[in-house]
Amino acid sequence: MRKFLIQCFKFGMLVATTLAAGEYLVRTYVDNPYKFKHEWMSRNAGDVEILVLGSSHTYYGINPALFDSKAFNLANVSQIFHYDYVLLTQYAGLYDSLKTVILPVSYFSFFDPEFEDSDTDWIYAVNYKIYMDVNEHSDFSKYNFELSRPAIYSGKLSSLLSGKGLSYDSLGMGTDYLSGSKQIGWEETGKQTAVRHTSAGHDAVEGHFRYARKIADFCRKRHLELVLVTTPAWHSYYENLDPIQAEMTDSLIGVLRDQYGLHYLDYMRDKRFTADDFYDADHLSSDVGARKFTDILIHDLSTLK
Amino acid sequence: MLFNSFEFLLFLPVVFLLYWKVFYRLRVQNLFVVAASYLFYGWWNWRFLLLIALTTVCSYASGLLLERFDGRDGLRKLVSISNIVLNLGVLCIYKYFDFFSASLSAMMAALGIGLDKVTLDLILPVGISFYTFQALSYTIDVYRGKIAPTHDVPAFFAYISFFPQLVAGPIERATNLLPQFLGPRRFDYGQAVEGMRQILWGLFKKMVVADNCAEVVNYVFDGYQSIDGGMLVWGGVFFAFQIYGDFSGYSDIAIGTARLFGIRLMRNFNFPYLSRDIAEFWRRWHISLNTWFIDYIYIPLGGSRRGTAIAIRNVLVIFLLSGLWHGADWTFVGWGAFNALLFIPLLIAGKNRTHSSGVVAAGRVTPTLLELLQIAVTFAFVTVGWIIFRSDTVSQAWGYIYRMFAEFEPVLPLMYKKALVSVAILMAVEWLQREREFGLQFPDKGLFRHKVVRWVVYYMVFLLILVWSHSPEDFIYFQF
Repeated sequence: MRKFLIQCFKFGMLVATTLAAGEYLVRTYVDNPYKFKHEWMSRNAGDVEILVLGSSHTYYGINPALFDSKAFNLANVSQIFHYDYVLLTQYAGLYDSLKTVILPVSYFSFFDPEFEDSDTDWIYAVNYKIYMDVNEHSDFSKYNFELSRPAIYSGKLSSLLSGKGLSYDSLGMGTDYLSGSKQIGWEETGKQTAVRHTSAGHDAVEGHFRYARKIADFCRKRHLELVLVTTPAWHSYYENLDPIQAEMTDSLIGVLRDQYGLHYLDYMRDKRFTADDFYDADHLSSDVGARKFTDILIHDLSTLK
Repeated sequence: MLFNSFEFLLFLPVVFLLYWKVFYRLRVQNLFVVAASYLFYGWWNWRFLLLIALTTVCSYASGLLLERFDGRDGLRKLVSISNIVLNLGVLCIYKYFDFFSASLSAMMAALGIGLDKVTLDLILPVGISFYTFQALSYTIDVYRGKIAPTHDVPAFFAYISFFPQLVAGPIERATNLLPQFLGPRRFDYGQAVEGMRQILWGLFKKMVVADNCAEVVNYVFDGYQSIDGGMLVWGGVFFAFQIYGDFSGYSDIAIGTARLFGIRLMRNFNFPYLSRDIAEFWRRWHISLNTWFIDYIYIPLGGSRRGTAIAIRNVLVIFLLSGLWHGADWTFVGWGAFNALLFIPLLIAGKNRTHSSGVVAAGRVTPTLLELLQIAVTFAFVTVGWIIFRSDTVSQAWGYIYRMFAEFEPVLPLMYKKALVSVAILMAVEWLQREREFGLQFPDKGLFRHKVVRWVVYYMVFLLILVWSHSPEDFIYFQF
């Protein structure tokens, strides 16, 4: 037994050393949009005039390079209002030129659970803790280790060996939802995504609405224009939304507009967007669809002024 | 609790140390096994522990009653049948009620008779098919006089609930496992090391092979209507390796873990994709279930001793039951029927035992062309069966297979490099190790005598798991 335990201990040490070395390599040498955005904003936030917040809908859907003014995409996949607010205020002391904040409001924005309350989405919070200096969790919690999410850890180690290219551009926009590799079967997956985005309960609504208001309060205090945007979707997605959740979303947007005098641009059912523009049922492709959408958005923003 | 989870990584060493160092007296050790096993299972849903306890108590009591009614055949038969009805009744309510209700309603509707469908919508308790069959094995063997009923309550509870094989087998026989809980266990260094190797190999099969194949499989089966036939073929092939890596990987981890506790579980897979015909495949795939069906259904029905017609009927019965055991859906029944249709011609021709012992190309490095062809054809048939198994509906299975042939164009899925390479590694290792029990069982001679070589192999496998493991998928066989 003693011999067995010693052998296990030795191999365990080898494993532990490898895992620790992997953690270091992943943190230090694997590029990711969170690290890039934090470094970029820390250096350049003073020059930014238009800041794009939000989830994958804007991360892949709004191209900051097309704006005449200096714009930056601070959206991240699955980013919720809580982290939109944290990131917006994180660089508050640096904003010298900021005029406009674009905040997407999607069908799920008020209903998805907070990262920390979700068995699957908690892994997103790790990115903010490790790479964006967001101190919402202790240094000794699972949120401060890549190893705590083994599949992502493995994927990053693997990408380190295979030398996978960057999946975002120099202004923070996601670039890997390409029209050439778009998803298939939207009629069915649109339905499935709509169902996945529909929450059984409404427990999270109050928390999300509180953070949406905090964002609006911050913008009002700093005299920034806050524009709410809903990005285009394919018909199989919006035709299968739960009417109660969709209605609640509309009414919460209405409350924000009334209380803060915000502009709201809703493109969800916009017929100008065709199959060529989408990557899947609820995302524009980052090369074709995002260009078209950003051009339209720039035009509509100019008419608001 | 999943074998490939952080919780299990903590659970296993703690239970191991307590088992050997603190609770080493036999009775206490068995009680500890039960407590640890109930914790392992209850981690998922503690409410269903009551079902396991019910199955255990009923089977234990049946054993005692069978002993008490020794010599009174009528009463013994009544006790045995009651126990079978009760155990299968629980299984049917949880697993099959909705299926039979929906099927009856559909059949009546087809006959023009309106019948409201009644469904219970119950959650299927994980592993219920496995532990129910294991419990049945005990009472049937006691009834047949193959094993004496036990009076040792902790040992019997440990036999039914032993955590490594509780939720996905191997489905143990009372004749093999129960005596191991009735007698003292001794720690054996060699067995423990073998156990660790088997666990490592099981993790590779599950986390690298199965989970990487799952990515392709999910993509292909979800969008089969718009995917070319060549890719559909690959979808079927990758599913064959997904289900093999998933299930045999689980069995390896289970058997390896049991070895750490001084328990030998039966072998569940014997390199099935190296089979030369479908009969050999079924002797090498899910051995514990197939031998269960043979011992408790096929042979009592007359096996192959009462002529060809009865033998064909019996083969059909066990394949259809095997299909239903896997799930309450017509796709599983179709999968069972398809395999029966592949098996029956061999039975009629008297060739179903041609490859009943030994391995392909024994004593040689490479197979003959004929052997290679036999392996490839068997694998192709098995894969068509897996497509039926994996499909959501019979019409999807039909559409998939039709499109696979009608729209076929050769393609190599190079974008799924990890799946391709991991399958290649698996098959290469299995070929080299086909005369051993599992992929990482080293010979006592040659290079592997040197510890450093063995450790390099362990480390390489660990690195493969670390770098190539895919987002974890649930073990497929949990749902059965």
